[in-house]
Amino acid sequence: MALEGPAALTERAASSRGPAGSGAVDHHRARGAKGLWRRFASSPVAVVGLVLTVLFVLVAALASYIAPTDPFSFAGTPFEPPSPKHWLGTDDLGRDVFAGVVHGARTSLFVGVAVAGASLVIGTAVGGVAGFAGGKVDDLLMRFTELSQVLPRFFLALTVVALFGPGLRNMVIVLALTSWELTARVARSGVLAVKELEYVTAAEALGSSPWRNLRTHVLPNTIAPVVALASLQVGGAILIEASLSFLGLGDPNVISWGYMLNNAQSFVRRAWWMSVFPGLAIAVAVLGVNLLGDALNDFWNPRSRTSGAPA
Amino acid sequence: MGSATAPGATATTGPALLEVTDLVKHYRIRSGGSMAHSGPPLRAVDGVSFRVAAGETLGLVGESGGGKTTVGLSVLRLIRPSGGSVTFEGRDVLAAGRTEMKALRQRMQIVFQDPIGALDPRKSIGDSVGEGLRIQGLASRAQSHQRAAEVLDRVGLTAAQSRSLPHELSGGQLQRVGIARALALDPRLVVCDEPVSALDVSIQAQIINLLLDLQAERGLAYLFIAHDLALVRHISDRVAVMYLGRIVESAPAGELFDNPAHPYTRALLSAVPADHPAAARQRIVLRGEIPSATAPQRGCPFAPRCPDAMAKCSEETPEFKEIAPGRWAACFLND
Amino acid sequence: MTEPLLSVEGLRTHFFVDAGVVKAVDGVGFHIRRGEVVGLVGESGCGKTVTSLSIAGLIESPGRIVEGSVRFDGTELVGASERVLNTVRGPRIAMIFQQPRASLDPVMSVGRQIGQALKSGTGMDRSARRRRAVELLDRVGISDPDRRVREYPHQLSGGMAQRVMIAIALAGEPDLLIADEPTTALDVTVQAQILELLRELQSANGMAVILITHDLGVIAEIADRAAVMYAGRIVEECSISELYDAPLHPYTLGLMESRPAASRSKSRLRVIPGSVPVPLDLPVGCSFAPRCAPRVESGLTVCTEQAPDPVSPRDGHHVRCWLHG
Repeated sequence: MALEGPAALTERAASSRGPAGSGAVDHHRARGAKGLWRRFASSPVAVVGLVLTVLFVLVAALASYIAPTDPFSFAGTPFEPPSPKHWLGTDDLGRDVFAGVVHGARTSLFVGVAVAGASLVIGTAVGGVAGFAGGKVDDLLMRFTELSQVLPRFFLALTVVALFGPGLRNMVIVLALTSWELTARVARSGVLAVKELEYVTAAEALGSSPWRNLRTHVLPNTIAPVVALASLQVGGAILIEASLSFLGLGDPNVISWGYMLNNAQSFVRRAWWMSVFPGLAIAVAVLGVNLLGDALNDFWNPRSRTSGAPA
Repeated sequence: MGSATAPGATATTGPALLEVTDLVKHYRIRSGGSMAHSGPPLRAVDGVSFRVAAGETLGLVGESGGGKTTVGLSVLRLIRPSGGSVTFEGRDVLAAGRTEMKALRQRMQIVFQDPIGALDPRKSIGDSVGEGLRIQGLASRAQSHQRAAEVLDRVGLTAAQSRSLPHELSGGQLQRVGIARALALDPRLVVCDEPVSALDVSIQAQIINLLLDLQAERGLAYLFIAHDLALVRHISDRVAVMYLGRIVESAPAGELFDNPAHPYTRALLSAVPADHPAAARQRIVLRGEIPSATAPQRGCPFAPRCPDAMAKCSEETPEFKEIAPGRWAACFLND
Repeated sequence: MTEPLLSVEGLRTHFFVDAGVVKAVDGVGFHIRRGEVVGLVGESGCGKTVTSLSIAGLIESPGRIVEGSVRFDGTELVGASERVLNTVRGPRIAMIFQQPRASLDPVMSVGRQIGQALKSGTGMDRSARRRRAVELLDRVGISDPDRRVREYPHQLSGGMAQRVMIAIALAGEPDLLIADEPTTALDVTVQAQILELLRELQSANGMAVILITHDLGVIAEIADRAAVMYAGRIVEECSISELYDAPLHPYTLGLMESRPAASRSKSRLRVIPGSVPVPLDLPVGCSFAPRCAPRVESGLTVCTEQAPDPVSPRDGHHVRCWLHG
């Protein structure tokens, strides 16, 4: 092996604390934020993801300026094809499709970010406490996590909307409550690894309480891969929201890409623009945030690829 | 040995700063699954007693798996021992309540082996050094930074370096930071757990000098844990040798190295590479390696590898007792 | 004098990273005769491991041998094809490392790993290889080799794993063994066992050994000659007795004097000030000059202007230092 396994040897060479290795790595890291950015920017996928995501967020944030027309107002005659006046045409009620697509970005972004944010907060809390406390608390919380993991989120969302009526808030709550398990697992394994490190013991030796240790040393050093994972859930949440709205279970008072698609169903042949543009918007937005999430995930947690990305 | 006559007592004049009696740490090994099903316990520390006087250095040597680090962490209650007592400045460390323990932590500190792993990668050097003062409520953030800068200056680092992150410094510099963090609280006892073994040879001497200087200035006591015997001899007043969770010999440093009383100590010393190629030496090459501390044992733990083992050695466990003033050993050969 | 087994001349191995060029090895030359044990001593980052990997042709991107020659028994290895390298590396130049367990395949039995090493080169069949594996394990002092040969790396202790690595290295009956910190991860009593084994095998097989270490004591135990490396260069090369009794380079002297001595307990140790330079940012002139106390005393200015070439103040004793040039 030592003899005919140059791969093993060079692997060692690469990982050895030897000269080139450590010197190069140290120096690289010493560049701090600039070095991080360079590493990130060296991946074309990451850059595409970042550009699309920024575009998505800008459109959502500046919706009222980009498309001052109220997406629910009757801005023109029904079924106008794309024209300089209505860039993406009008729908069956004469509403501007461009305004719908632009304002729909807000809904999608809100759902995505709210769900991912909730998943981040709940997952970190549950996983962090489970990993840090260990023992019985860990066993209990992880069993609970497994239980929530087996709930099918889409059908649960369907049921809740059917029972409590369609509404954006209900949908976000259901999605948030069903998407934190994976985040919790990643947070837990991170905490398990970090809490054994000597700097945590050192802080304890200085008189730091366990709670303070968790807050100031353990969580800040485990949060990066958890955030990366949560960012991957933005896309999933956007898709589920769109699917539910497409099925007519969305919030009828809020414009969304799924709602527009639902509305376009009957007119696919007559007015292709009614379905194509919201569809494209969903594809581009989800692609953007997923590429970015993937890049962040690879960046912080090279092993995440094998553990499978969330839906 | 139960009570007041902890080993080594006679070697020091002052009252004990730290007194450890019959310290035991057993680990239950979870064998598969999350439901607790345990095999025989791992006896990491199996009845260790020693004392350290103010301003004194006790060297704790032995090979990996001997339990040295477990002793160091137990003394500071960074892990919970399974039995025995630890008394520091007359107070029972293991029974201390939360407030008392927090106060005790100002007085006893630790320096770790891995200088980079012992520092939070996201915190500046100054933050890490001043952290203890803030935790203990002794200083505001600004004051703690002021104080950190002073301590860093003492250990040979600059004010500019206090704003650095750990990865920007070299191993030797980081170990200075680790020492500064321990010093910031002005402790009486510092547990040094292999403080130089991760460092380059030319840097080791710098750190050892720093530790010696600080001891002279502040009257610090050290529990100095290391596997490098030459180093331990250099820095220690007294030395205790651990094997499989027990102290097998303890004596003033010079005596222990010049005239070891336990066969394990003799083997350990003879295994140290020569400091000169011409130094012909009678080497005792031990058979095998340290066995697992889970194996049930009878008799002297060293007997299976001992070149001088007698029939009795695998039957009875030799008592750890004073064989000459200030010299303790657990071996039938000294009877 | 016969041609040396290995001669390394003007070796430069550089690593081309984003931040610049790391000159890990920057002009290394030495010779090894058959059956000779040479210690390559130095601190982390001095280039001793990269030197050994360069000899074995195991430098990978972003590293590259930019200059120099490595001649092994008449064959030039720098720039040689993978086919040529494979006939040399393994059967004739074997290597062992600091972390034996990391160098063993965790899912393959000890016997199969030795067998693999035997396969390349010898035409032995399976059962012959198994018998030879048992013999080799016995040879490196592993008790009960018939049982051990079926075991997996996780069942071995550190010392045992290093013995297995040595058995694998011996499989091809190599002329040269490169041992990179072979005892650093081991306890001192086990280190003594492994050094004893290496010494015994070396004298029995007449194999040459390059022993890479940071531990001067290990060198004293086993080496005939020593080469001291600093910042990618060999700064001093001499017989082991001269290294201890009459070292010439201030760095070697500093290393010797910074060791704790029994006679001076609790006194301050002599130190080499400063720290090892970053290989990306080497000082102009002699790399050791910024840390060199004798230079300051002597008032030499050339040290910070021009790197010294090796000189030989005594027969077989080479040193790169202006104080002796």
